[in-house]
Amino acid sequence: MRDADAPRPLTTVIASVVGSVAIVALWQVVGATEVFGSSISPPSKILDVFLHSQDSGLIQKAALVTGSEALDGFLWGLLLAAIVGVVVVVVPVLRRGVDQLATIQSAIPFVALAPILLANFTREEIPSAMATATVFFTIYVAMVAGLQSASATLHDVVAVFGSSRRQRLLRVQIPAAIPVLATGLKVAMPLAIVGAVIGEWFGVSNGIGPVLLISLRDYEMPKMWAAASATVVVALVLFGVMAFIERIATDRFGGAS
Amino acid sequence: MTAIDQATLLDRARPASDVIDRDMRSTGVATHRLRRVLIHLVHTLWPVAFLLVAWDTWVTVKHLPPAVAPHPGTVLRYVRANPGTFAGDALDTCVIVLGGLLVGAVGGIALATVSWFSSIARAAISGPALVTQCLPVATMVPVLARIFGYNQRTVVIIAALIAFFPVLVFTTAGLRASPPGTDDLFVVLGAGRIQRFRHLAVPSAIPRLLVSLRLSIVAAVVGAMLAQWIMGTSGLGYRLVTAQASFRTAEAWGASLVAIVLSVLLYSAMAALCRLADRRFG
Amino acid sequence: MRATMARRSVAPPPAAEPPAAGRGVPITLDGVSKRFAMRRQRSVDAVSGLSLSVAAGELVALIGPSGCGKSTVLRMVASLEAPTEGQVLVGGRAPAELARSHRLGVAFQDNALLPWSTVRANLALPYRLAHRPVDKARIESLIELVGLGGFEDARPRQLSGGMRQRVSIARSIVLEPDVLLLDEPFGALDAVTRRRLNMELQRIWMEDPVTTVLVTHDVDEALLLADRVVVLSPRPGRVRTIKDVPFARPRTREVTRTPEFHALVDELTAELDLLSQSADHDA
Ligand SMILES: Nc1ncnc2c1ncn2[C@@H]1O[C@H](COP(=O)(O)OP(=O)(O)OP(=O)(O)O)[C@@H](O)[C@H]1O
Ligand SMILES: [Mg+2]
Repeated sequence: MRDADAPRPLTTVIASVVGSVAIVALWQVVGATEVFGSSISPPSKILDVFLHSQDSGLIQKAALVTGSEALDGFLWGLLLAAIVGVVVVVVPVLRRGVDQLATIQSAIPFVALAPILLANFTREEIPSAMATATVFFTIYVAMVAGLQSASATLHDVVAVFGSSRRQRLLRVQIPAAIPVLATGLKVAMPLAIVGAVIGEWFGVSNGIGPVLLISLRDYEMPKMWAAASATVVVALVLFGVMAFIERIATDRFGGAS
Repeated sequence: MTAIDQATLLDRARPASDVIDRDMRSTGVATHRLRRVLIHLVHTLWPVAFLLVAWDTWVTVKHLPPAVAPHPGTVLRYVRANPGTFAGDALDTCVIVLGGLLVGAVGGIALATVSWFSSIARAAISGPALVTQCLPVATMVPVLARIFGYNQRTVVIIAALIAFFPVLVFTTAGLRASPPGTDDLFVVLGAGRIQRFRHLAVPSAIPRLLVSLRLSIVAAVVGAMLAQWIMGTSGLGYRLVTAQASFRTAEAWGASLVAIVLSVLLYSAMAALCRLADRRFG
Repeated sequence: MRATMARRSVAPPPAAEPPAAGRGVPITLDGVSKRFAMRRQRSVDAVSGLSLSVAAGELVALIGPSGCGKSTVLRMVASLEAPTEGQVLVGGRAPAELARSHRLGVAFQDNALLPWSTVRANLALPYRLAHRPVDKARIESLIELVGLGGFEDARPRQLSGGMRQRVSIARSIVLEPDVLLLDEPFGALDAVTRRRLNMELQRIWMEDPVTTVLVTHDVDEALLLADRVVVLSPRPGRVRTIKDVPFARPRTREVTRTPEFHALVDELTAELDLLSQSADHDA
């Protein structure tokens, strides 16, 4: 959001806090009174699961598993997208076709990937592979946009200085790509979690995905809500880390002004 | 912030089809219309041909048994032999996706509008909105299934919800993205709130809204298929899970293929619509 | 003696600039045209049949109405565009050859510094692109020369627009190029900063008077810095008038306040106004 609107007046801050609290309170009331049935667990019960039940350890462990699968897939996605991005920028004839393939790939519903992934990977590898598939497009787009983000004048100047293609890539394009890529990575991070969880639904026994499905089957609502909240927390934490990295990257490599 | 970043990213990475359009225009008026259509077809279809060939080679080279990965020919023949079932499933999923997209987009636009008019409302949802930017909505399908019950309506709700967030976030950002200074200018010129909304906020929001619709339609397909897959209600997701469970590989791959084609077609249709709208309003 | 001396209409005042010819190589443009292809098989003639020669060590300013092809001429000399017709030679060679041997220096209106690099690292860039050892002493002395002592480790974003432009100029001359090409280097600056930097550029250039083409739309700037001012006609650009600038260097503020200077300014400004009007009529 543009921060053109000067320092936030106090009322805005209060409204924001009140708004968040109100939503949680409403959730609590709806959950506790069960007006919409017993499927909505109130925040108090979710907290209870984390603090007092024996499921707490299970969920934490599952969240770690899912988080590391997501991270694993994310890094593979980064590697692949970075390589393809560089290739496409260095060999522009490939650009259009690869763009088209990437767009198609990004439009594939996760579930439809199931047969293809099952034929190629072991079940344990699928969450990471799925995470890679979900993040690839965003990172690829960021990579290509970043490699092309240096100004035309900068390209002109280094060309007149007699630079080689390789030098232009290493000294201009790649550094210029870093902040844009970091933004792409931040946006892609929560997608990696989604990919990992859905990948788990193709039949592994560890992670948040199975916990969600088992509690769905056994009708253990607070546990399910707790697991879902854990996913959000993992996503938020990883997102926060990426946002921090993005800040540093923009600070260090971002444009003048 | 994420929404804007993502919007600019997607805008910068022009979809390949846009590039083709532009290139074609630049080939000049002399080009015959029929030839242009042919060129367009070739440009659009070569990745498909490439994928089919790659798939076939991969199955052959790796000596994969048909129970694991059938040849594209087998799957295509299977789909052709059972056009009714697949068409029915595809239609079912398609209707759900479009319904979900409609509900989600209207909801997102409505909430974004409210938050434009009321700064209190905007502030109140700013906290939760921050969370929604990285909310893994798709992983919430089991929770939603429990809340709303195992039926078609729930599938629509899930598709709607998943389509809702991008529209909300992008439209909210877009409504506030008028060029710096223009808002003050309008105030000085004595424009009322409604006028500023119509003549300033809405035009600035449209490009971002279009980007979000492209994202949302894909998200809606994802959500719908996932819901059908988990809850086993109907449609392509359901066909996929039942076929897989009973090892009818060709059928599972067929469902997968039809789903991919459907999704790409819906995305392309949305992208084409967006281009039209962009030309008209942009 | 410079080849151009003979063509001067006004004899240089006695005790004028040191007779020592400057450094660098001559530039010749011979019947040069540039046509840009546009959409729908249309095209724009940016430059048409332009001939001009710049002697070694001479500073020539190009002025003309907006869009008349000044930048295009400069870009052809810089090897960034190839002429559609005619020939551009720099020191008897193709511009691209000079670029490849790292003998060209450029600065544009947009400073085009590496935003992630410090002033020092930005000045080291030409060395690195030329695979040459970085001459630290030269970089330090250039930083002093452009008055940026104390800002060696600053990033471009921490500098003002004028300071960035100074870095950009320093970068253009760091390798002591055979030809220096400047495209409105101060175009984006306020009038006061611009005056100051003009004086500085004069000082910097006089330390090493190398063949220079300066594109500008500021008549005062052209007259302050150039040996000759070349006025281009509206698009398609060709040479309209060439004006010798008779003032001895350094051209101080006092010189710019003389009636002779003012007369030249008025003359060129009037000509530019006329050309711009006819350009408007065409459009
Ligand atoms: N890459 C290009 N493609 C198409 N047309 C171009 C290109 N570069 C320049 N032109 C056209 O050539 C003409 C001359 O442009 P040029 O930039 O050389 O003008 P200029 O004299 O430098 O103008 P200004 O004073 O505004 O900088 C213009 O009409 C411009 O539109
Ligand atoms: Mg110019």
